[in-house]
Amino acid sequence: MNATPLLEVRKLTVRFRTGATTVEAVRGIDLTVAEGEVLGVIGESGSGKTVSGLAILRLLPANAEVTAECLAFRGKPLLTLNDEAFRSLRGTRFAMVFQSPAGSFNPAKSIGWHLARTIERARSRPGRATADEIIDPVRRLAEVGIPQPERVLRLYPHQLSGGMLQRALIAMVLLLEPDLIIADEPTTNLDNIVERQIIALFRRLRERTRAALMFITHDMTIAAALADRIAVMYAGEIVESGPTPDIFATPRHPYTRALIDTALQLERKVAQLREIPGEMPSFAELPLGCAFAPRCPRADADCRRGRPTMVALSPQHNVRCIHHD
Amino acid sequence: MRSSLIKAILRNRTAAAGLAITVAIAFAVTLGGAISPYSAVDMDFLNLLAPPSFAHPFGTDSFGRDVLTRVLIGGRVSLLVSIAGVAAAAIVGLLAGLYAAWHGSWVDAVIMRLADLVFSFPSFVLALFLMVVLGSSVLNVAAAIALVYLPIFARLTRNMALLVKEEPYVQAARLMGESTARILIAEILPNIAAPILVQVSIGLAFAVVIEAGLSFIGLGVQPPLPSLGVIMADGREYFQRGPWVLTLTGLFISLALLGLNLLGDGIRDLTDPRLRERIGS
Amino acid sequence: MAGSLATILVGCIAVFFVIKAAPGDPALAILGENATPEAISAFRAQHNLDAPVLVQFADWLGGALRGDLGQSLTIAGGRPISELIASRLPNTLFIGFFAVAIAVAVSFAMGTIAALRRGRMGDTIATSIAVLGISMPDFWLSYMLIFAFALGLGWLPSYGFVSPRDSLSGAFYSGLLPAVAVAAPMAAVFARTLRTALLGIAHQDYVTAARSLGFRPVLIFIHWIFRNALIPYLTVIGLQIRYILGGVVVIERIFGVPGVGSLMVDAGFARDYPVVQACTIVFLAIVLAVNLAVDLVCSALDPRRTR
Repeated sequence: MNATPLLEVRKLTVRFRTGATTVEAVRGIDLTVAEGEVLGVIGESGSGKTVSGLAILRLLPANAEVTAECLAFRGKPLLTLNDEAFRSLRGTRFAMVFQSPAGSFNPAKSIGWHLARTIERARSRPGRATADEIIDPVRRLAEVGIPQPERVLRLYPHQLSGGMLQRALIAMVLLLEPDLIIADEPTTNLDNIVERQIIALFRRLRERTRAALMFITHDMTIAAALADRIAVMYAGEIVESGPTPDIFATPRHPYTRALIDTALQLERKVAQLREIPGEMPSFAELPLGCAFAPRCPRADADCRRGRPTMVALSPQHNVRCIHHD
Repeated sequence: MRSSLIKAILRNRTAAAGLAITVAIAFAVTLGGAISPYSAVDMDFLNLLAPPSFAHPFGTDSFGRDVLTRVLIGGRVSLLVSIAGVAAAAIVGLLAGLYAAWHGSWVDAVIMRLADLVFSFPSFVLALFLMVVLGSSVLNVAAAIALVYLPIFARLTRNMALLVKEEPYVQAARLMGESTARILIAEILPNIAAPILVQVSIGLAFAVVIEAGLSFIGLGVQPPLPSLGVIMADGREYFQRGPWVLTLTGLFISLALLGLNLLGDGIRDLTDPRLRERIGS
Repeated sequence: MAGSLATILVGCIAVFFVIKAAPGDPALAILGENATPEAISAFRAQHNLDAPVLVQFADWLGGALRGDLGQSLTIAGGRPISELIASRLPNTLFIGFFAVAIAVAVSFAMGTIAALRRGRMGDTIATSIAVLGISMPDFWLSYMLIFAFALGLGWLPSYGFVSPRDSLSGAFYSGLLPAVAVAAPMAAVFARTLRTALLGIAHQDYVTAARSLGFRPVLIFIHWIFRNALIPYLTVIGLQIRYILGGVVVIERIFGVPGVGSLMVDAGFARDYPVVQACTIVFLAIVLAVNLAVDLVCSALDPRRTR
């Protein structure tokens, strides 16, 4: 881990201003993604994982304020780049696959039009080795498992299923050959069978491309199937991170444990699902101490006193819990 | 609900400015005639077509009458005609819309088809047609305005009521056996009041224009009764010699419309949830 | 299409019967209170006023379907109304389309600036102009334009109109002030619509997705945002055509444009009911035709509605 990571994030904080109130949706998270690595970012909806992804790509609305001690891509700081310089990195260096496939396409334009624009974009990338190569949209769609690609090129977004649209978007992202793909719950809006197909597609991609993947999900089983490392988010902070085997073998944070339990029960189709009691606190009224304490079976007075710091259990495995033993 | 809406209006800059202008104009036309030292009809042949001055801020017209006094009194006529027309349209439209929403089936279809028909005529052409058929009079101008605005209120009320009708609290009230009238007044009316209010405000602005337009071409309010359109039609006759009569009367109308439009816009912004700022997620 | 024809038919029925129900005898109104009984009965016979109303309507409708709208009673005594309208309709349509073109051009610029500079100076100025534009009665604006550009600067004529059939450049020259007067309030409404639509679409997920792929902002604005804002924008043009035509009526009179609007006002003063009736229906037909056209364009623009 001495090499410069592909993406390095330290103390990333995102605040939203609405009128007089300010809400801190991401509270100083640290993340690194190495070249070619798959990082699974796990958490419930509202834990700040999507906002983190959008913040890294500078895609948040104007009322969001993003700060970080370090936000670097291959060692190059990103926050100091002007908008135009940053824009040229999107697509070519990092790209994003979104939660809603139907919402990712211009409703007025055909799939072929989207691919044509993306191919233009791919060609405009400075120093792209394949600038002279003919990029065949039909082949690209076939590669991600779209049947009858010639026909699909002529169709409009509303005529395709969510699964097909997500495949088409993945094909677009892939032909840009980015170094990092941020996938934000790309299967949440799809049904089970299609979800499995898309996950399988991502697994095949791992073998084929050099791109690193930051896979945002709320589902531990998906993370287990894809990720080299896992970061668990809760209420805008990372509560545990480490290599996937370590996390599953020895989860140290009670929240991680609960997430794994829920996933295992789902796997075994347990009749009486034991869910984590309570709800995630809203960002407007975070507790003073550990944010998870109100729902935590092991919480005591110490937990409510102050925000726990990150403890390094091993060079790679970190946990934000005072009862990590 | 009502006091909170007023508070919200005062906090919203657009709505507050609109309300201030509207109230100021309403005050001016209500009291203006009484306060003014001049009469709207008495002629002063020593002061024919006098340009605006301290004594006559809007100048005098070709009969030496103080234009400001005439504008304030004519404004009262115009505003009363517009209020009468829009109020009639709102009340009848509200009842028709609620009836259509509650009854459904063919009653709904017939009322809405009629509204569509009226809605397909250019509004001013329809008003003009009615003036020709009914004859020019103050009451008929109000009637024309009412008919032109009727379909807007009927359709709005019906669509809003259909939405609210499916809300759980309305369903609950129905299941509890509350009377239809009670449900309409207690549950549905408060929930459709804001968009109706927006339409009343904007409708009043359009009504003032329709009255002024009809009277301007001579088919609306008839002189010697002054209305804003009548004063402007008069000013048109000697526009080159005394441009202030037409110009300042029109400015007064524009100010009134500005107030009503701002008020309508402001209330719409306040009550339209789609326009509220959302937090990105 | 069928709906529009049905609306025209119902519109004809409504207009016809409202006129028939009007208080007063048209013969008395036109011939005067002192007309002899013989003259009145001759008038009634000539204009088929003694037949049952339903028969009168059937006759009128049959004629209308063949392009015969009856004869003018007073203002152009005895001339076929269809002739009157045919000679004046091009002028009205010219002013109307000229005004729409001006309003579209101005509102594209203003709405786009306002949306791109949201909350900043450009937005405030464009939005303020828009509110002011809506608040100016068009007939008053006409005189202000005449005052400035015709009487003051002497650039444009203050009265009179050259028909586009005689001289197209003459029609543009003499039609500019009337068209601007009609267009100003419309441009304000259109600009506001465009601004709202652009701002709404700029927050859509597909725009964020396009940005995530690094497309140039100009490209995103044109193809993702503006392209999708066109549909609500055109819909509003269709809705506003009613007000545009209303404005045309008054402004035709102010500028002396011999159009259907000024014909209707003249006929109204002269109690020439058949002419008023025909003009009202012509305006209804224009509204429906424009709405049909807007509908067709919108379906062509929105793949969700056609394919």
